[in-house]
Amino acid sequence: MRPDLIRLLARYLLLVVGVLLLNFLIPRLLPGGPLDFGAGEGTDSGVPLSGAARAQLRSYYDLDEPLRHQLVRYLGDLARGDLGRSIARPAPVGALIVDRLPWTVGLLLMSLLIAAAIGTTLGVVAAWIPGRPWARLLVSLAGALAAIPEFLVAIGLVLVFSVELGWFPLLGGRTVFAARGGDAPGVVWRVLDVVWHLTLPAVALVLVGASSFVLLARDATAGVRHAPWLATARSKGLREREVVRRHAVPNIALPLVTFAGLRLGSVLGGALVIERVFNVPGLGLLSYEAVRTRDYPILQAVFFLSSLAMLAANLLVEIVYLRLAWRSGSAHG
Amino acid sequence: MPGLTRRQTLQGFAGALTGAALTVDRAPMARGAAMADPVQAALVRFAWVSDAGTPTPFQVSTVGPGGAVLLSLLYDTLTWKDGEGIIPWLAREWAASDDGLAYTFRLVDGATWHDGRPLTAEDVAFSFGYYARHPYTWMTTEAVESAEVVESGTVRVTLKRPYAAFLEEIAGIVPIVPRHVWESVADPIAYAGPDRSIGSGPFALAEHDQTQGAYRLVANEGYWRGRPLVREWRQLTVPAESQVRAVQQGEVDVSFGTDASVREVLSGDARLAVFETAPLSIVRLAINTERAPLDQVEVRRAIAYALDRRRIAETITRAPAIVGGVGVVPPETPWYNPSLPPYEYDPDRARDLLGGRRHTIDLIADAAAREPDLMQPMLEAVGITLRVRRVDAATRGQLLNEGDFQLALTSHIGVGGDPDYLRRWYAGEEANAFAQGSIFRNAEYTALGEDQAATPDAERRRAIVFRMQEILAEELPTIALYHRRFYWVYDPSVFTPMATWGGLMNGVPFPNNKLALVGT
Amino acid sequence: MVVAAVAAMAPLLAPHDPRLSTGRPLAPPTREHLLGTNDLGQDVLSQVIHGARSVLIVAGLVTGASTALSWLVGLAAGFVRRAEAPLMLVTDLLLVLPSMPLYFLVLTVLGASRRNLIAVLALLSWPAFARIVRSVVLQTRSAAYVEASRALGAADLSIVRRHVLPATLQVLPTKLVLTVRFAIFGEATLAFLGLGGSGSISWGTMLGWAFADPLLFARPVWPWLVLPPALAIVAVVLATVWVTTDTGDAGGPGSSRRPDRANSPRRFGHRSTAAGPLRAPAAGSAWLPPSAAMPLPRDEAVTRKIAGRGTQDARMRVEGVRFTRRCPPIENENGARRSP
Repeated sequence: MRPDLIRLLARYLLLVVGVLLLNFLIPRLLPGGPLDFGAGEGTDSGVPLSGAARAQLRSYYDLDEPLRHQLVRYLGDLARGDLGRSIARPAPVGALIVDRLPWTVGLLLMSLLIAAAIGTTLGVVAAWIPGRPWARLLVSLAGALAAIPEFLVAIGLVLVFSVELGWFPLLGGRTVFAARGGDAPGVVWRVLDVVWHLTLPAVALVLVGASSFVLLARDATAGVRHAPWLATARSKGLREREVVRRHAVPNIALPLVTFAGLRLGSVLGGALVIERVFNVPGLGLLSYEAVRTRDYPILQAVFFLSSLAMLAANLLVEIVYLRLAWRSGSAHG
Repeated sequence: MPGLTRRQTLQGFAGALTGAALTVDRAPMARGAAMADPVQAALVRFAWVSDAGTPTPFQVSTVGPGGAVLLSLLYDTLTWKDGEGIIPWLAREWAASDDGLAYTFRLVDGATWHDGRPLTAEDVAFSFGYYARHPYTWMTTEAVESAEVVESGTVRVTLKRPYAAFLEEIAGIVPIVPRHVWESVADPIAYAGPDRSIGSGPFALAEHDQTQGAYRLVANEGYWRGRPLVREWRQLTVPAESQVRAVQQGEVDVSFGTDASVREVLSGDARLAVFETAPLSIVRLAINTERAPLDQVEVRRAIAYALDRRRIAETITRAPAIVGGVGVVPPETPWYNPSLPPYEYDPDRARDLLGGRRHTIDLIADAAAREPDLMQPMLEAVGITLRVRRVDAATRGQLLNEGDFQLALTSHIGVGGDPDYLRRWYAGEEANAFAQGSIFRNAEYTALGEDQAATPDAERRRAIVFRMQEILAEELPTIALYHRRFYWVYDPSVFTPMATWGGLMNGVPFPNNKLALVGT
Repeated sequence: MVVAAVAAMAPLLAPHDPRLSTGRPLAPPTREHLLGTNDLGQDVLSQVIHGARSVLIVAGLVTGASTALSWLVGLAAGFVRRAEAPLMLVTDLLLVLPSMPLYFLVLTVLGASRRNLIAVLALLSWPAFARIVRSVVLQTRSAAYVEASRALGAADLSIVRRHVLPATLQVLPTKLVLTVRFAIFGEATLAFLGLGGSGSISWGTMLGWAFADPLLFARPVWPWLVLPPALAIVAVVLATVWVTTDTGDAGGPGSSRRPDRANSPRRFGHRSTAAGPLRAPAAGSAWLPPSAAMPLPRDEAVTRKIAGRGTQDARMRVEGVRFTRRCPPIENENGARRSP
């Protein structure tokens, strides 16, 4: 176990270093710099920077230094936990991310859990009692849903429920400045407000995400149902329920947990398309804007954090997986 | 267009000062010059498409005009503009020295900062000194040599060279900041003190929701011009595709669009109205006059004749076309020269100019721009193959700054205010974002540019600026395809839009001139 | 097939030149323009027809290049000891970076055009399957029959050709379906985000143009601006899945080896012995990092570990390998769609 674990960790360490370097380099490969976001299309024309102001800003953000100096500074700052300052909207990157983290994490986590719960249940049921028309309908539906690009699902929802019916708000993640004239709204009101704002994006994510779980759980269950070792278990005289609980479920659970775990790791990458369509102030939207404005510090930070989360999820899955594999391996041994 | 028809003379004030008379030129806007009496409102919610950053002069977003206009509600400037021209603001009167190098301002009485401290001449002098070290990104103060207090309530600003645009472009745009806040701040970009947004304007910042790009401003009860008519002003960030819908659903009161057909969309809605601005936005081809074949003026003219600019404008704005002024200055604005050659659509003439030669020309354009799709067949018809390269704004910025292009499609605001931009675009050393890609060397034009900047007399300056436009029209270092209006959808029961002479700030077609919120 | 035919004959079928403004902008469908016109007055029907060509090119090239890369890297990493570490590092790096922002970033670096779009989608979508292929290689190498043929003196290359390559081909149909869908979605999504590069007409850029209009949903135009390209995308993706699954079920020599396919008649229970009605469910299994025929990319630790135990516990190894095959890969290219 030990040498394996060390090798594992060494590999991940190497990955972290690679991620750091890529995160530093890729944004700087972008054509144009943070101060080149000049005359945009009419509505977002940039500031007419004068030569002097430009020079001053370049030196303020260390953009005039050689790349390796910038890299050293970036790594040094990072080591001290300082993510730098955004260039397009002068504010500490750390604060910007902390502001947006709850939106992305809350939204994606919530919809991931719901999608996993609904999808898995439906998938298992559909596979365990196959052939029923509704089971086939369900699976076909999941398949069809998986054939629609995410942004079309999202826009469809906005169109029907926000634009036409007006049931849900068009704007943002919560009602801004809800506290008017001193009477601050209660906690319950605020929670409900956020839920009301995030319902549609969550539904979109659940719709798209649940179809994966349905199909995955269906396949996993179907694959396991007639496995010889289940037959063995049955022949031992176990009741069907016991068979499912003690033998089938652990085997279905593993791929699902793995899948969910890895999806969890990608949560910090944000849900760019969903955030864009529903105007949710999450990390995806932040990095989208940062690419447009060449905001290196934000790009570095968001990419680094989301890569780190992805690595952590992978590591976790790998460790859990090792343990589970051993256990179920010995169970059949 | 009538141009500069009315002039008004403000008497220089007497006293120990060198009493020169100062003329302020006032020209009516073509439309909306007279504003209805502004309505009173408890709350106005204003939607803009992008986040405005932190509202201090040093931390405001450099992306788009939303931040600079927001600042104008929080901060005051020495002069301001109404629908007809420059008006006194924090400076109740002023005088220029005969050589145009010094301006002396006498400040209004009773102006205070949001924290209650009085606004003094020291604050004004401090502001210019501070901006020399920490530039205001929206307007350079490089022309200013120094500023000092002459006596209580009086400030003299000395310029490095005579600058005709000073009153409109510097005195009218640069926010005066409180000395007691910034004096001890060495790094204003990073400053996070709770007093960082303290200004002297009609509104004070009450809340800033950074995550959602939302700002809540409350009326400054002690405002020196009187109690504002609007009690609370909010600026919200709403994506372009939701702007009109948000105002229809009552989530905001004022929203933005560039598409004229918004009128049809709203025709059934009696509650809302549309305010159209002067065409202060320009969509143009920047031309690198140093790259063959575009170094030949015949080719540039051929392109102008080959493009059916009227149809391009009508198709994209869905409104009667405002064909681009070949002198860059848009029609309906104070400095427009109406007697330039029109370059009407004439493909035969284009073919003649090209003399049967075929050319392949590269165009860089924004990914979403539709103009190239219309231009391609038109140019193909006269023998020019247009190769379109799609880039985003920052990439284009870099290519244009480095002169690494042949043709570039760019669209922006910032034309229509003081015409000094005609000089700055082609002055070369200044990296003006709007001037990007302006590669054109012409001795007469450069000299005229210097000349107009140093000419305080409006009539003489006008003649020079008109001649500059003629040169642009002959030489075509840029081809204006069309001009755009902004269409503001608003609820007239809470908001009265206002047109500003030449646009707010430096040609920004926003409807929320603070005069409309404060009353006159 | 229909799409291919339409694409091939696009110039003949299209009633108008899709690049020319042949009508009033935003006109509703008429006899002249069966699906109306877009914001520039171009004929929507002609654009949908020409878009079929674009979708074939993008999907074809992306899938081809991405698949080739997956196999090349996977086989190399599985066989060449020295290449394994660096190749897997690159693979892992690409898997770990957030997918959608990465596509967005890289496409901005390269500039928006169809060529670059294809390059980006192809170059960033191979890692998941490279891992899978490598896992299969590792498993097959240590399988008894391969060891036996090695013991009999077969050369490495012939082992690859005779045993390993066929084994990896099991996952090929899945890879193809996933990548075709990924390419079509990726193109449409990036076009929606404004990176399509409107130089070429595709369903993605058509949607991009439609959604660029802030007043799109305030006018009655979306039924003919949005629905045709959107439905075309959905139809092609569904068709791809069905076609692939059908041919897969028809069974080449390779497919019979797949344990899950072998099971498939039983999978759907007693009532569905006929193959016909099972299309959609079967299609479903091709969607995903499916359980079937897809070894876990992460499994080499296990495989290696188990293999390391030597023959004393062969049973466990078999179980372990079979077991690992139930696991989905690390967030793979379809992650771009799931949570960009």
